[in-house]
Amino acid sequence: MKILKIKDSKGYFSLNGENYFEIDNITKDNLVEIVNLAFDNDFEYDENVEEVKNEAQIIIYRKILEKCKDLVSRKESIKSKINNKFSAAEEKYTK
Amino acid sequence: MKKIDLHIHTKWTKLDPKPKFEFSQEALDKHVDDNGLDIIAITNHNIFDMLQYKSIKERLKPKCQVYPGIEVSLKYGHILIISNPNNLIAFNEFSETIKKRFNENNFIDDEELVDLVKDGNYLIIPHYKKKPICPKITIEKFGEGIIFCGEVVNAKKFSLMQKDEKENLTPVMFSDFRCKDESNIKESKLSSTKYIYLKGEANQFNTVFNLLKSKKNVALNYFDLPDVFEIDGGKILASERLNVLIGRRSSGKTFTLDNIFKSYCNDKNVLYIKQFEITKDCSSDRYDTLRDNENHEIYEKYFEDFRSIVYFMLNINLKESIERADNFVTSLKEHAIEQRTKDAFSCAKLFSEEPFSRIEVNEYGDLLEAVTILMDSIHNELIEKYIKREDLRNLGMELLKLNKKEFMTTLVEGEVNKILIPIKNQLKVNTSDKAIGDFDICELFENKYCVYKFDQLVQGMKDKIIKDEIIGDKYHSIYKILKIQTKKQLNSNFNKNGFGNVLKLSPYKRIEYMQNNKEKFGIEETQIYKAFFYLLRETTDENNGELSGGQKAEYSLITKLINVENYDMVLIDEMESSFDNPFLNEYIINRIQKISDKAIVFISTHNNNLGVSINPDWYIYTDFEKDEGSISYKAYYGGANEIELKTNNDEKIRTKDVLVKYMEASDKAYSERKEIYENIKD
Repeated sequence: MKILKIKDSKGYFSLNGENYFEIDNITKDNLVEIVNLAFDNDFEYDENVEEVKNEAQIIIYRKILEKCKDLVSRKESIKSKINNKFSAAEEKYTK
Repeated sequence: MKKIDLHIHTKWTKLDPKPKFEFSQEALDKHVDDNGLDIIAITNHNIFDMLQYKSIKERLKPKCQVYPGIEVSLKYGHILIISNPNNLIAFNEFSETIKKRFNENNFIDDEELVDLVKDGNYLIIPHYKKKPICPKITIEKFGEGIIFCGEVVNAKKFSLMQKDEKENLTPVMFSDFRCKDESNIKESKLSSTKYIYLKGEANQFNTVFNLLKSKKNVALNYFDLPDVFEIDGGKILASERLNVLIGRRSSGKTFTLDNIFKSYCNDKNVLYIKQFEITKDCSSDRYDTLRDNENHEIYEKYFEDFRSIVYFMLNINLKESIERADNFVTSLKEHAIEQRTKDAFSCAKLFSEEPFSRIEVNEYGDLLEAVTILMDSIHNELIEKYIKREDLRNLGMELLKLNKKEFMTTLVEGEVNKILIPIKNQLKVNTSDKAIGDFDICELFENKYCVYKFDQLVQGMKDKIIKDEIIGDKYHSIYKILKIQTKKQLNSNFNKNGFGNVLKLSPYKRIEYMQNNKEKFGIEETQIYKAFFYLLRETTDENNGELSGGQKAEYSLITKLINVENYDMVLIDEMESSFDNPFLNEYIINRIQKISDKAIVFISTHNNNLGVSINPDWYIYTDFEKDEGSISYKAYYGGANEIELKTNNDEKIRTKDVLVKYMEASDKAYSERKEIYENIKD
């Protein structure tokens, strides 16, 4: 799912890969929702930030991109650690 | 023959059962006198008090030799180290090292102990068939011939070990006695009777040391009879299988059982069913409490893993992660807008630089630990059956490399953070620009994912029958784990009221809410896991009906006897008062016979089913004589197939006479009953 997109010199974010909103409208709840999406979705994002014209959007887009990249690079190992933690209990109580 | 007891405690330490005790010389004197001990050793946990030892030695001279010793706590198991009294100074130095190490680590490293004892010529006796057990792998570390004895917990284990040709160690059984003042306690009249006989004239430490090298030199009784041991200070012999105590009222049967219990109760593996105990257990309240306790144990065991998951979840701070996200977004936007007016401080690249994520992902550490556990396990033979040691070693080496790399990365990132964060903070102080709030998206992800997994786990947990058992062929117990649906069920699980609408909350929200209100609800955090499921136990008789009072008694007894597998000794005092003969005959006799294959059993009875039909191995007949106001007690004993029972003074009585008198009322009554049965036969 493409969550960050650059189009017509503007930066956008999406919570479903279909509807996009300008990056400077992002809220805390949107960010938490992005984290939730990462459980089961692979993220895609445009990285050509230099094409964005608005100075404020550049800063916000760059930071959010940085966070998303950090999350993408580490989420599988975090998930695997937590899955391991829960696996014995799942095996014992849900089967 | 010398009677020896080389395991006696004279000082309370944190490894001894509470309450604390002060040393009582009188108690030690009584222990030595009642049992007629010739040689003892003082063996306190990880400590040796030389002054106290000297005083005890002086006091017991010349009737009893006293050896200096210490009971050392290893990582796995305890081990007695006993010294020649002529080497007291060296032993004292050795003990000081043990004390120091124990205070530092709570145990002594195997290798260090091996090194410390190597020149000492000590008598080294590990807990072998006695908890906490010292594993064979530890014993092997001392090298061949250094350890030649192993302590056992009771006579049965002693006999088995002595007969086992593959077993090289000499079995020894000692009292583990605590010398404390018990003058206020009723049972103080009783003495702990656990010792062994050493054949030969062991007049000094070196002789004892050498005699213990051979199994043939130790015995459980003065007569060196096989499978028989002494109780009541040596006044009575008993079988290590099934013993039946008979005798008239007040002849000392209960006293004898109490005495045996006192000798063995420290081992925590003795079941003592006292007279009328089962009847008491069946009063309505007591019956419910006992069942509740059993249920609680089953519930706790079943939910062991879930409890640790809940406890882990209670330490997650999702709220804080979300607040940081909020702060981050707000400050990021403000920062972006204020860019045009930024000053020199906020221009610095480090001002906007992010610290490394704080999440520690120990990907290889757990695996490495698992491999290490497998490699160090005492069950190496079993493991090697499935996994080659070479493969395990290679896996361990590779994991070690990966773990090292991961560790170095974390270390470097940590060091960078140490530099970066103070500089950023200083820049924030000096600038007029808004700094972007620290926010670790991986931490938020981790917390959210944990909550997601937890909710998923609880929602996936099903109602389940966790145990379905037929008790004694006639009672049926089903243990069901059921989802809490009503406030009543929730209240009953916690034995509290007033949790409000907590059941409407999602699993994580429910535990979070209960944690935040734990004072108000009066609950402990460790109990919060009980907020989801309860245990329902349904017990019915063979007709699917509820249990009557008598049936509850039967059920209680069978339940107790079913769970005896963990016991080494079972004592039962006149259980027939609560049960009818068909029940005893049909359900209890076989069960007790089976128990005696693994445990030493003593039954006191007036009932001919339990006394005769049970086919015991040994009889103990207790009696008393009144003579000018004073009472003297006697105990006759002997194998169940022997014609006569006899006392320690060789007084004899016919076994048949005793059995007919006490099991059948008398020869006359027995004949009359037989005649009545004959008459009504048709």
